[in-house]
Amino acid sequence: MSEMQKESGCIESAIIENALVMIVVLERGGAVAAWNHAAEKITGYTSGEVIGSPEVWKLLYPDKKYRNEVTKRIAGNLAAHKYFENLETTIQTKTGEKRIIQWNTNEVTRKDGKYQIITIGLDITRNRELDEFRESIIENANVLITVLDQKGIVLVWNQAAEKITGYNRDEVIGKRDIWKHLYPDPEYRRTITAWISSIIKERRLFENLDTTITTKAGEKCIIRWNTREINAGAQAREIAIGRDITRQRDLDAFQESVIDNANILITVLDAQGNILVWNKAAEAITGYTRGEVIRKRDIWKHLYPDPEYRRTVTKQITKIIKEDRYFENFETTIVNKKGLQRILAWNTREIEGGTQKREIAIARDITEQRKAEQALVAYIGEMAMRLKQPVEIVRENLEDTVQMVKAGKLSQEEICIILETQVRNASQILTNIVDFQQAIAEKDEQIPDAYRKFLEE
Amino acid sequence: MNRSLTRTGSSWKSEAMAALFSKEELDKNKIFLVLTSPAKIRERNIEIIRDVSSMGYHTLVITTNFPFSVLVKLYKENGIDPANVSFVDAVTRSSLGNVDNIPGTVRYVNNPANLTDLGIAVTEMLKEQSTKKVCILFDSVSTMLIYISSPNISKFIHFVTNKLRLMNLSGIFLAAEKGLDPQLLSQLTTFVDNILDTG
Repeated sequence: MSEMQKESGCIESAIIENALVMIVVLERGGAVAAWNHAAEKITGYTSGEVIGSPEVWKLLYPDKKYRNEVTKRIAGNLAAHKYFENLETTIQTKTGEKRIIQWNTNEVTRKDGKYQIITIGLDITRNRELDEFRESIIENANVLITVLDQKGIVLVWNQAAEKITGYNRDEVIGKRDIWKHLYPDPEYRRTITAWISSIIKERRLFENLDTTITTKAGEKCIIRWNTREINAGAQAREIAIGRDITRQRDLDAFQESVIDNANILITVLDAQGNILVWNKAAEAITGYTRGEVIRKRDIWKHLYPDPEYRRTVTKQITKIIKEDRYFENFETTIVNKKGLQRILAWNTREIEGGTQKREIAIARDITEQRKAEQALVAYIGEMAMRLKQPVEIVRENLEDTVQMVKAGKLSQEEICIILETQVRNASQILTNIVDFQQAIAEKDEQIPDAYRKFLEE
Repeated sequence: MNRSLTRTGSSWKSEAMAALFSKEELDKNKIFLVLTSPAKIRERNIEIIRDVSSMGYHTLVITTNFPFSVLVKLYKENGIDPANVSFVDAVTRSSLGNVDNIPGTVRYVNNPANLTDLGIAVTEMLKEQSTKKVCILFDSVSTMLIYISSPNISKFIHFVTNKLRLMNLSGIFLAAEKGLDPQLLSQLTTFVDNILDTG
C-alpha cells in the first residue's frame, strides 16, 4: 500500500468516524465492519459490542416479526437495485428508546474485490415528532386549515375543515374543485375570486377576508380567511386558515338588532367623543340620521344649539363624570332637527371595547312624562283654586245672608233662593272634589282635554 | 271711603281713592278685572255700582251669587237708584223654576254653567239698554269656577270682552283675590285693560 493510499484510508476513516450520521459498513453475511461514533451515540451500542458480529440487528429490531419485515424490504431492494434510499425503520436503542432512522444504502466492491454494504442512517426521530406535532396541531385546530399547491390543488384539509364544510378530506385532497362547491353561485364566486386576486396581487396574502360559504348540507357559513404563502421545500404553497364566525356574526347581528330596535336612544362614543353607534330611536328622537352622526363628534352642537346651555350641560357632565365616572338619570333638554324641544334622561357607562375604552349613553325621552307631570301639577293648582275660592265665596254668601236675615231684610222666598243656591254650590264643589280625587288617583288620565289644551296655549 | 288699592296695567296705587276707576276710563270703554278678598266681594260690588252710577253709567250686573231681588235691596240700602242697574240673574230660576224676565230690569238664566244662555242673556240685555251708556259688572269669576273650568271661563270672558269692545262698552270682572290660577290670570290679563287688586 502506497503512502498516498494509506493517507487516503486515514482520511476516509476520519470522515466516517466523525460524521454526524450513522455510518455502518457491513460485510457479506451482515457482520459489522465499521460502526462510527454517531452510530454509537444513536443506538447506545459501542463499536466494540457490534463489530465483527451480525447480531446487532437483533438488538436494534428485537421484535422478530418487524425484523423479518425490515430484512425482507432491504433484501428486496438490494436484489433489485443494489441500493435503497430513504428507507425508514424504527430501531430500539440500548436504553430501550425508539428511534426512527432513515436509511440509505449502497453496495460497493472494493479494489481488493471485497464486497461491502455501506449504510448511512439519519436519525429523523425529532423531525418526525415535529411533523407529527404540526400535523396534530393542524388536524386538531378548531379553525379550518387547508394548504394549496401552486396549481390550487388541496394538499391539507383538516378535521375542522371537514366539520365546517361537510366535505371530508377524501372528497377534497388532490383536487381543486372544492371552491365550486363552497361558492356554488357563479356570480358570488367570481366576485370572491376577483377580490382575492386583487388582494394577492398587491400583498400576496389576505387578512380577515369574510366570505359566505355553502356547506355540503346547504347551510350558509361565514368564514373569516387569513392566508400566508409558505415555502415547503422547493415548492411555494398557500396555507389558508378559515375561522367560522357565523355564530359570532349572528350574535353581533342580534346585538345590533337589539340595540337598533330598542325604544330608547342608544349611542356609543369612542375616547375622542366620536359617535360609533346611533340607533333608530336616536334617529327618531333627534331627527338626525346615523349617516349625519357616525364618526363625528359635532352632534351635541346641534342638539344643544344654545352655547350657554351647552356650556352648562358640559360643565355638569364633566363634574359628574369626574366624581362618579358615570351619570344616572341626568336630564337635559335637546332641540331636535325639527326645532322641537325634547327632555331626555341620560344614563352612561364606560365599556371595554377591545383595546379602547368607550362610553355607552342611553337616553329616555321623558318629554311626554314631564308634560303629563306638569299638566297634573297645573291641574292640582286649578282644582285647588276651584275649591278654595268657591268655598270662600259660599262662606261669605252665607255670612252675608245671616246678617241680612238677622236684620230682617230678606223675605222667606229670598232666604230659600240664597240657601238653595249655596246648597247647589256645595253639591257642585263636592262633585269637583270627586273629579279631582279621580284625576290624582289615575295620574293625568282624567285631566280634561280642554284643560290640557288650555295649558299648551 | 278708605280703600287699599294696587293697580297694574296703567299702574297706579293708592290707599284712599274716591273710585276704583275714573269716568275717563269708562268713557274710553276700558275693561277691568277687580280682585278683592272673598269677605269684601259684596262690599266691592256695591262700591263699583255706586261709582259707575255716579259717573252717569247704567250697570248691567251678571250675578251668580245673590238673586237680583236681594241685590236691589242692598243697592237701595246703599243709596243706589235701582233704575241705574239691570241684571242677568243666574241664581233665581234654579230655585224658583220658571220666572218671567222683566224687560229692561232682569233676565234669568237657568244656571251659571250654561254659558250659551248667559251669553244670549247678556246680548239681549245690552240691546235693551242700547240707548244708555252701559258698563257690565260680572259678579263673580270666582263663583263661576264652581261650575266651569278655567279654560271655559277664559273662553267666556274672551267672548264677553270681545262683545264689549265691538259695542264700545266698558266692563268690570269681579274675582276673589289670591287663588286665581296663574295660567287663568295670565289669560285674563290679555283680555282686560287693567287689573285692580283691591285687597
